[in-house]
Amino acid sequence: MRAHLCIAGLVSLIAAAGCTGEIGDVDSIEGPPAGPVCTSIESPGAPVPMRRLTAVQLQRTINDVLGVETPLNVTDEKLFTFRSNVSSSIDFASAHGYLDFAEISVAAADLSACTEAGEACDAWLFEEVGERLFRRPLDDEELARYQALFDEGAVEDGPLEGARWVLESMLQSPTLLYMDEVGKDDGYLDDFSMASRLALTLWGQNPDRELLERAAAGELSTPAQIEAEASRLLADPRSSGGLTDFVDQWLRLERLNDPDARPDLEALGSETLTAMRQEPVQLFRMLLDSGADIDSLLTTHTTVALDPLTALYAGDIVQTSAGAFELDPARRAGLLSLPGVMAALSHAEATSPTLRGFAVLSNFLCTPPNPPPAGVSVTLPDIGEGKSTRERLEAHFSDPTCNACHGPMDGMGFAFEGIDWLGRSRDEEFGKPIDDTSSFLLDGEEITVEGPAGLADAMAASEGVAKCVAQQWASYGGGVPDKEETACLVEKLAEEAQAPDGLRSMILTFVTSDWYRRGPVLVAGESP
Amino acid sequence: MTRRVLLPTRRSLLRAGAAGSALALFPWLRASAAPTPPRILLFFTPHGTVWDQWRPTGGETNYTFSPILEPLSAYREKMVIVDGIELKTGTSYYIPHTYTMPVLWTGSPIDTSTSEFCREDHGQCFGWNTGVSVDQFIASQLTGLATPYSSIELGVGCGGLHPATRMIYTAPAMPRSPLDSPDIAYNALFGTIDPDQEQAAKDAKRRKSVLDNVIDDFGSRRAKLSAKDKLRLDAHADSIRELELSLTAVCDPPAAPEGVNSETSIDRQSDLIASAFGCGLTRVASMQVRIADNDNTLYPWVGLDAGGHHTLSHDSGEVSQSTLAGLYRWYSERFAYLLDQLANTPDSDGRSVLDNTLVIWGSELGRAWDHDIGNIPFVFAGATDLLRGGHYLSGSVISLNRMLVSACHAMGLTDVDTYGSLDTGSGPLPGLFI
Repeated sequence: MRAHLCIAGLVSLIAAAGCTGEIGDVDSIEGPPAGPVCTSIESPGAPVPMRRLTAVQLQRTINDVLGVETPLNVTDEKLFTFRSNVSSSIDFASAHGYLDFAEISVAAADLSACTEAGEACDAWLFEEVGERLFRRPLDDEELARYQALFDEGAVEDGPLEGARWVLESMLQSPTLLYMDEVGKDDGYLDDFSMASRLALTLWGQNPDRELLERAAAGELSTPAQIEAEASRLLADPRSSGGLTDFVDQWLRLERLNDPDARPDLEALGSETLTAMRQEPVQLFRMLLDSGADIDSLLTTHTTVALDPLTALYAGDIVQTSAGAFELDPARRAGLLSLPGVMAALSHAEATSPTLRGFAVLSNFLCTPPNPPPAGVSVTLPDIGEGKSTRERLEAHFSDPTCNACHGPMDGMGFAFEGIDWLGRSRDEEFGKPIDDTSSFLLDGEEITVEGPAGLADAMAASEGVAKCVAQQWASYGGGVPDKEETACLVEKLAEEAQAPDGLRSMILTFVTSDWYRRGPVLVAGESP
Repeated sequence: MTRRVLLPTRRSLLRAGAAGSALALFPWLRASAAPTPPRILLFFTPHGTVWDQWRPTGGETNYTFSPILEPLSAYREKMVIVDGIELKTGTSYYIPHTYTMPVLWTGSPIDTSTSEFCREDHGQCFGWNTGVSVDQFIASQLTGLATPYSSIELGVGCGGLHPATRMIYTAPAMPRSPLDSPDIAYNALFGTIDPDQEQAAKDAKRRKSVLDNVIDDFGSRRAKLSAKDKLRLDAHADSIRELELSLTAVCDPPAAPEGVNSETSIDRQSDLIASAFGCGLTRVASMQVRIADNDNTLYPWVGLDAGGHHTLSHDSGEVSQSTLAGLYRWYSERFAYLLDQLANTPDSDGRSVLDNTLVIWGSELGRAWDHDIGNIPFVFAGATDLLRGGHYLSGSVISLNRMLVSACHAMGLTDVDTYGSLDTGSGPLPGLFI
C-alpha cells in the first residue's frame, strides 16, 4: 500500500506532463505564440453576442431586488478563462432550473406591498421591481400583459397571488435572463444598455435604481459621465460581485470547492475554505481602495486580516494591524502566494509545480505552453522513495521532449515549493530542506530567483505581466476573449496599471473605452 | 419523505382497466394497450478502459470475462460485447477528449469553422457539435402517442457547459444538459407536481399562465439579433413549451433518493431512470457519468485516492493502470446495477423494462494514457427480442457510425442506413442483432 500511495502521489505532481512512450520530434515543439500587436487605435466595439446572465449574476440580482437567496441549478459556459454565456441555449434541464428558481424565490420574497391591489402595488411590482429586473422601464405592451397576468392570479386567490404570478413570470423572462444591448446611430450603446453593461462588469448583477435613473436621464453618453458613474459603482459594496467574478475566475479558485477531487481541502472546514476563497478578491479590493498599482498586486506582503486563516498562516504573520496581516516577506509575495491560490494550484495532498508554473505562464504572462506531444505517458522515472517533489520532477528534465516545456514551466513552479497543498508554509519535505530557487525564461531572458518574492519581483519588472493582467481584465469585462482588436487598448491599460492608482485606472479606462462603449457588431453576413 | 399520491396512478389505471375520462388526462398511457414500444438508453463513462483487463478471452460465444466486465456476467445472455469500434474526429487536428465527446453519439465532427471556444495551449479555437445525437434523432422520429418527455437525460458530475462536457445534442450547437444529480432529477421528474390533487390543479393553472406569458416576452427584444442568437432564443422558447408538457406528467413517484454521495449517486440516478421508463415518461434516455475533459475526481473506495482519474489515466505504468482498472470495474458494477433496476421494473407487457430497452455503454476514448480512439469499448444490453445475446464480437476499425445506425434500427427506424456526416459505410453493426 505504501508503494502504491507513493507512486500515485507522484503522478499527481504532473497534471499534463509526459515523458515516456512514443514521443514526437523535439524540433516540432513551437515556442509560445506571438502576442497580439497594436496596429490601429480605431475600435469597432466588442462583438459580444447576446449574453445570458451567469447563474451567480442572476442570484445576486434577485438577492438585491427581492432580498432572497435561492439556489439555481443552471450551468454556465466555460468559454475561456471567464464565464460568459454567449453560445448556448436554454434546454429542458435549464428551463426547469429557472422554474424552480422563480418559484422558490417568489415564495420566499416579501410581497406585502401587494396585500391590496392598487397604485402602491403597481408601483412596487412594475417600477421598483420590474424595472430593475428588466434593466429598463416596461413598455406599454408589457405593462398591459403583466397587468392581465396579475388580474388572472388575483381572481384565483387575491392580489398577493397576482403579484406571485407576475414575479414568477418576470424571473423566467428572457428579458431578465439575457442582456438586450442596443446601439445608437453613432454606434455607441444607448444609455440603458450602457447601464446594464457597467453593472454586469462592476457588480456582477443588474443596475440599481440610481443607475437606471442616470440612463433614463441620458447621462451615460460621455466618457466623463460613465467614469463618474463607474466610480460610484466601484465604491459601492456591491462591486464585490464584479471583482469576485474577475479575480475568482482568473485564478481558477473554483478548484477549491471540488470535494470529490480535493477531500483534503474539504477537511479544513467551510469557514477556513470560504476565507481562503475570499482572500484574493478582498486583497484586490484593499489594494484598489488604497490606490495601489499592479506591482503591489504582485509583490505586496500585506493582506486582509481574515481570522479563519490565522492558523494556516501561522508564523508567516509577523504583525497584525487594523484589518491587515503583515506577512513574512521571505515567504509571501502578492496575489499568487496566497493560501487559496496555492491550494487551488495543487492536487490532493501534493503540491504541483507544474500547475503553478502553468498558471503563471497562462494567467499572468498569457503565454501558455503547448500541450504534451501526442502519445506520451506521464510515468515518471523511478528514483526511489523519500525524494522531494522537485527531485522527482527534475528526473524527467533529462528527456529533451519533456524538458522543452516542463523545464520552464515546472522551473517557475519550484519558486512556490515552500508553500504546501493547503497553502501553509513548509521548510522541508521528506526531512530535506525545500529548494525554492527557480529558473525560467522571462521576456526572452533566462533568470534565476529565490522563492515567491523573487518570482514576484521579476514579474513586477516584466512588461509582459502588466499586459497580461490588463488582457485578463479586458476579456472579463468584454465578455469575449478578444486579443487582436483590443491590442492597443490593452497596451494603454497596462501602462496605466503600472502608475499610481493603477488598478483603478485600468478598470475605469476600460469601461470608458470605445471598445467597451460601442454596441454589439453583427458578424458580417448575418443579417439582423 | 413519503409521498402519497392522490391522483390516479399508472398502475391503478391499469388495474381499473384504464377506461373513461382519466385516460384523456394521461394520453400516453394508452400506449400500454398496444404492444410495448421499444426504448433506448445511452450510458457514458469517461476515459475509455484498460484493454487487457477489459477484453474477454476465448471465442465469440464461449468467451471468459476479464476482471473489468466480470460484474456483468449475470447478463451474459442479454448482452453483446463489441471490441473494435473506431472513433474518427473528422478534423485535421485533434484536441483529446474535447473533439471526441461531441462525436460519440452524433457520428459527426466538432465545428471547427467557428471559434467560440479557444484552447490557447493548443492554439485552436472551435465551436460546438455539427450533428444531432442519435437519441435525439430517434426521439424526433418516433411515431405513436407522445410521451410527456421526448427524452430524459441524467448525469453525475457533468458541470460546465463546454463541448467536452456534453454528449447529447438536439441540433448543431444545441447541447442538451443532463439533470446532474439525483436530487435535481427527482425533483424535475417526480417532485414538481404536488401530491394534493387540488393544489396540483392550482399549480398547473398558474404555471400555464406564467409560462405562456414568458413565451410572449420573447417578442420584446430591443436589440437586433444575429441569426445564431435568434436560434438560441427560439430553442429557449421550445424548451419552455417542453417544460409545460412535462408538467402534465403524473407518475406514482418512487421513493426520494436517500444517502446520495459520490459513491452512490450513479446508482440513485439509475433508480430514477428505471422508474421513469416504468412509468412511461419517455422512451429515450441517457446517463452521463462525469465529463470527458480533465476531471480529477478521486475514487478512494476503489483505491484511487491520489492524483485523480484524469491525471492517473495518463500514466501507462503498471501500478497506475491497475488502479485505473479497479475504477473501470467499479463502473461496470454500476452498469450492472442499472441493468438490475431495469430488469426489476415490470413493463406493460408483463416482461421487464430491460427486455424492451436497448442499452448502449460507450466512452469518448478507447485508451486514456495516449488518447487512443482507434478502439472504443462498447457493451450492448437488453432488447431481448432483438439483441444477439451471449456474443463477444471482436473486430477492428468498425465505424462508430454502424453503432449509431444500430440504435436507429432497434427503435424501429429500419430505413436508416447511414448516420452522421462521418459515415462512409452503411447498415447496422454486423452480428449485433438476431
